[in-house]
Order: sequence, then structure tokens, then C-alpha cells
Amino acid sequence: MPTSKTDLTILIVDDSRPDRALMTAMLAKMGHEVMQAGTGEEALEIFLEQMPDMVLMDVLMPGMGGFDTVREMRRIARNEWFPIIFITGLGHEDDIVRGIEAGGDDYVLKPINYKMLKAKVDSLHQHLLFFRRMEEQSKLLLENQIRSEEEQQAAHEFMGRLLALDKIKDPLVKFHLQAAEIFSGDLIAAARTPIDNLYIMLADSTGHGLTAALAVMPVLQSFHAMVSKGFSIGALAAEINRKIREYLPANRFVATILVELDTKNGRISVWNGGCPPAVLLNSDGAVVCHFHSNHLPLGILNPTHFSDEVAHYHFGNNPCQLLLCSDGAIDSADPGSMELGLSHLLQVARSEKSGKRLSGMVRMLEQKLEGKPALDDIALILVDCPVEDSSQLSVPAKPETISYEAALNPEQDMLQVEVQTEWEMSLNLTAPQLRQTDIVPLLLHIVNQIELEDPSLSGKLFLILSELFNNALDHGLLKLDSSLKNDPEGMDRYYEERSVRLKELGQGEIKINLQKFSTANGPGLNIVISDTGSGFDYQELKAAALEPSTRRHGRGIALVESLSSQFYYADSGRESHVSLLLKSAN
Amino acid sequence: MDIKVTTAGSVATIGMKGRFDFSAHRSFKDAYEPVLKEKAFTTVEINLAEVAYMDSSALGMLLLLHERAQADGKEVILSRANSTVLQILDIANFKKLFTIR
Repeated sequence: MPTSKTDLTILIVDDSRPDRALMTAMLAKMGHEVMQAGTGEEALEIFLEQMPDMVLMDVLMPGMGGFDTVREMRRIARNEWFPIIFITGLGHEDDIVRGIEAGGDDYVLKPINYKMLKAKVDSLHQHLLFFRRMEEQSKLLLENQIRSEEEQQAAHEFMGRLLALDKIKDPLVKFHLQAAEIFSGDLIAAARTPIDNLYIMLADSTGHGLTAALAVMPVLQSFHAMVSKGFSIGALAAEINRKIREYLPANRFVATILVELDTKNGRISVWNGGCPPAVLLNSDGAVVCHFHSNHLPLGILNPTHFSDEVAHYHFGNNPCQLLLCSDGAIDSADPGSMELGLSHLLQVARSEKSGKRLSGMVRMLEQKLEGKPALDDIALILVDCPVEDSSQLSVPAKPETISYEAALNPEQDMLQVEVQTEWEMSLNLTAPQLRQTDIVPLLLHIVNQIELEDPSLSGKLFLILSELFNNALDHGLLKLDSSLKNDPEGMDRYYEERSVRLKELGQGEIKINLQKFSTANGPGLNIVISDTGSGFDYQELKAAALEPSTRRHGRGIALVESLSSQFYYADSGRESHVSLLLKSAN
Repeated sequence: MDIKVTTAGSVATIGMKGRFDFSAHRSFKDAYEPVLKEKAFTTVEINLAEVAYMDSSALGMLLLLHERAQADGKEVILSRANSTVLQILDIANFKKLFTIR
């Protein structure tokens, strides 16, 4: 390997021995090592054994001529270039062209001028050094590339496990994720809250590739932690916004959709910041409504300016399907227009049955892309929103001895046994807290504090607490008319009105009082929830609950009644009292 | 991306032409930094009339400008966007941060 100017190994091919001797002397004087060959064949033998750094080739030789020898040498060496100087005589200048065409790089004329030879050898020496440097760098690049790809594969596998996409096995959720490069900046998550509501999140991080994927991953942790505690999607959005803002640079953000599906009440709630509209489809695949992006993407606004307002839709007795897609999906359907892109997807939805819509959309996108890779990550989610069979909402059979009449006689104590109090706790929520506090996690937290021998009771206990609390808030303090809840449109108006009145709630308090006691029959709980409102007509509420219809709002009170040993209202409806035995009845 | 800065009184207008994407990153910054430094300008207008295409990295660049402008007490206006660009600004709800004309 030549490392300096005086370190080449040069092969001289000439049938004239004196000429060879002369050239050898000249090259030796320049400081190079010399090999000699008298014929083309001999030159090839030497060439195969030890490839020289440079070749000086006489054109006119008996047997295999200079041109053929050079052609053969080039063929043997393949991609490994080395300089070749032809030696020609005066008057044979057309040989020069043939020589270059055969693979030579330069020529010298006989008789050989030392200075000319040295100049040409030195120049071609430089070329050789350059060529070899390029080769070395290419090799390094290739090695690096292979290593980098291996690393990416490993990282991809690891990330896949962290994202646990294969764990999204909820029967209502179908999705398709397609990364533009190895890593997807689109993230999908789905989980159920303790009261079995389904939460779905689609997060689209700025750009795509590894940086985008890394940017969006911490969001997943927050999602799962908060869903398991039953926080509302508004609270999730606020918290994820705060978190992203902390660790992402100012020019990065995450376009996000959060969806809550409450099949018990036939309700969908959506928070959309920066994503294309989520579209609700009926069973025929026609559009029912859009949930447009009405917030900034997450990670931009500081917490004081952040809005957690959520859009609701009550689908009641009409089963439907919600379509969520990232803008990469819409771009692939039509790069020019978002409307067109979305309409292509919706067209597929209309022409396919709900079970086949996702595969139909994926096929359509493949066709549109025509085998070329997509420019951005693609995410498609379809969420089934079924109507829960109300007969399945079991209201456990009640023994005949406990009836509504008991409520009319609040003084009558049904627990005709001696009671010993173990502990008592009170929680008072004032208007500012009522406006802001996410009540579900709070109630769940309370429930989790109580030691229950039978863990299935925690669900029942939560139901009782939340039903009574919501009544105290909705009817006691906000004075809402529950008859609005009879039809889906009324539901929307009801929740809109509720939201407005809650924001404007200036005064009012709700107190939650729990008392754990023990009796000969086992442990029990007394619950009193009271509000500072003007009371309400609980008789009317109970009358509604008595009707064997599918009215969902009345069902709540019926459930509370069936789950408790004793339930009554007092103080004109400002107080609700529940007694509950904590051992499951046999 | 070609960027031209013109001024009229207290308003400095940065005219953008071409694709507003990551490749415009350096020149966009070089255009707005001197404008922000100059106390005489109270309003920075980004003229998007000749911007055919804008992507999320452009939104990110606008967010950086917004942050810096706010710190310097200046207003940022986005003007004359075509319907495609308006759609992107709309979905991202940038009207909550910028005046869009």
C-alpha cells in the first residue's frame, strides 16, 4: 500500500531488455520498486500473483500485444482501478487513442524523457492515492450503514414491545398503523376505565421517523395511568399537554384525538386538537356527524390557556362506528385536498359492511399509493359503538320486604340489629372544587380506601356513590330537568346545559359522609350524600324508575336501591341515605 | 424558499415564496431575527400568498416565532394564505395563537 510518494510497486512490460533496464533505473531513482515482464503473458502471470500499484506497458510486443494485455488486466482487476501508462514510439500517435480506449490512462514516447516520466508517474500516483481513499471511505460507510440498520431493527423491536400494540385487543377497536420509515410518529392506545368505559387515543407527532416516535412515547404512560384511575378525557388532555410541553422543544407538538365511549349510556365524547375530523358513521356507513379539531395540538399552550372542552354525542339506540385517521392517511388518499382524501375513505365506508371497512380502506390506500411508499405515517382506527342490550343491565332481584315504602318512613330502621361504628369520614366539596374536580377518580380513590372482603363490592360501591353524587349535583345544585334525558337529542342539550350551569356555579356544597360499622351480620357502610341546594322531588324520580321502560336515567336510582340494604331521601331531597352490608348476600 | 422582508412604519412583512417546510428553517429564522430585534417594529406579518405548500415543521417554525415575538412584545399576523394552507392552519387551530387575515 503506497503511503508516500516514493513507495509504488511498478510493473514494466517491454520486450526490449535494454529498454526495461533503462526504465527500471529511472523508476528506482524515483524511489519505486520495480517488477519486470518481457511479454504480455509473463506480465499477466506476475499481475495475478502480486498486483502492482502501476503498470508501464509497451504497445508493440510479439505475442499478446500491449492493448490486449491491458484489457485483460482491467478485466482481472474489475472495480479495483490502477494507473496504466502506455509506452509508444514517435509517429505512432494513433496508438495513443487505441491505448486509452483499451484501458490506459496516459502515455510516454520513446526515447523516454526522465522528467516527463517522473511527472506522469507522480500525477498518476496522486490519482491512485485518491482512489484508494475513496474506496476506504466507501467501505466504512457500508459497514456503518449495516450496523445502523441492525441497530434500527433492534430499536424497532424494543419500541414495538413498549408500545404493546398487539395488546390492543379490545373487541370494539380495529386499527391499521403503517410507518413511513421504520418508526412511526403516529401512536394508538386503547384501554378501559374501572367503570368499563372505552378510551381511545390517536397521537400524531410532528414529522415522522425515529425522532417523532420518541417524542410521542411518554404520552402512552400518562394515558394508561390516568385511564386506570378513571379520569375524564378532558383531564387526560390537560395532563398530557402539560407533560409534552415540559419535555418537547417549542417547535414540536402532538396532534391528538381522545375518545371516550360509554356504551351504558350510548354516549361518545371527543377531544380533538390538530387531527383531521373524527367521523361517526351509522350502520349503513353514512356520516352521522363530524368531530372537528377545535383545539390546538398538545404541547403548545401553557396550562392556564389550555382548554379541556369536550364534544359529546349521544347515539342512543342507533349503533354506529367512529372513524379516526391521521393526516398521513388522508394525504395518501389524496395528497392535494383533505376533503377529497377524507371523502375517498368515507366512500369505502359506505360501500362496505362495518366489519370490512378497515380492510377496504387499507386496500384503497394501497391502490392510491401505487406501490410507492407513503410520505407520512398512516393510522386508521375504527371503533364500534354498539347499543347495549338493556335487558343485560341487570337490576338484581330485590327481596319483597324492602320496598319503596321504606323511603317514605325515614325513621324506620331496617337494620334491626346492634351497630358499632368503626370509623367515619367526611368530604366536603365546595363550588370551586365542584367546578373543577374530576369526580370519578376521587370516588374511586375513596372506594379503594375501604377494605372490602369481597372485591366485587367496589364496583357496586362506586356506582352508588357516583349515582347519588351526580343526583346531588345535577338536581340539587344545578337544578337540571332530568326529563330531558329521554331522547338522544335531549341528552345533548342536557349535557350542554349541565356544562354551562356548572361553569357558572357560584355557591353550593356537596358533602359525602361515610361511616363503617360492624354488626352481628357482618360489616356495613352508611353513606350520606347531602347538598346545600333547595331539594328536589324525589318522588318523581322514583316514579320514573318504577316504569319498566328503557329509560336510562331512572335506572340509576333503581340500581342504587337494589344494591343497598336501605335507601331513602331526607330533608326534601337534600340528603340521600344508603346503608350497605359489605358481605355479599347469599 | 425565497424570503423577502419589507417594512411599512411599524409593520415588518416577511414574504414567503415556495414550499414552507423544513428546508426553509434557516432562511426563515434569518429573516425574522433582525425584525424581532428592531424595536421600531411592533407587528410582524407573514405573507403566505405565494406559499403553495406548508407542513407540520412549518407550523413548528411559526410556533417558535410566536414564542419569540411574544417575549419581545410583538404581534404576529399570518396573511393571504391559499385554501390549502388555510386548511392546515384551521385544523391546527392556529387562529387561537395568531391573527389570520
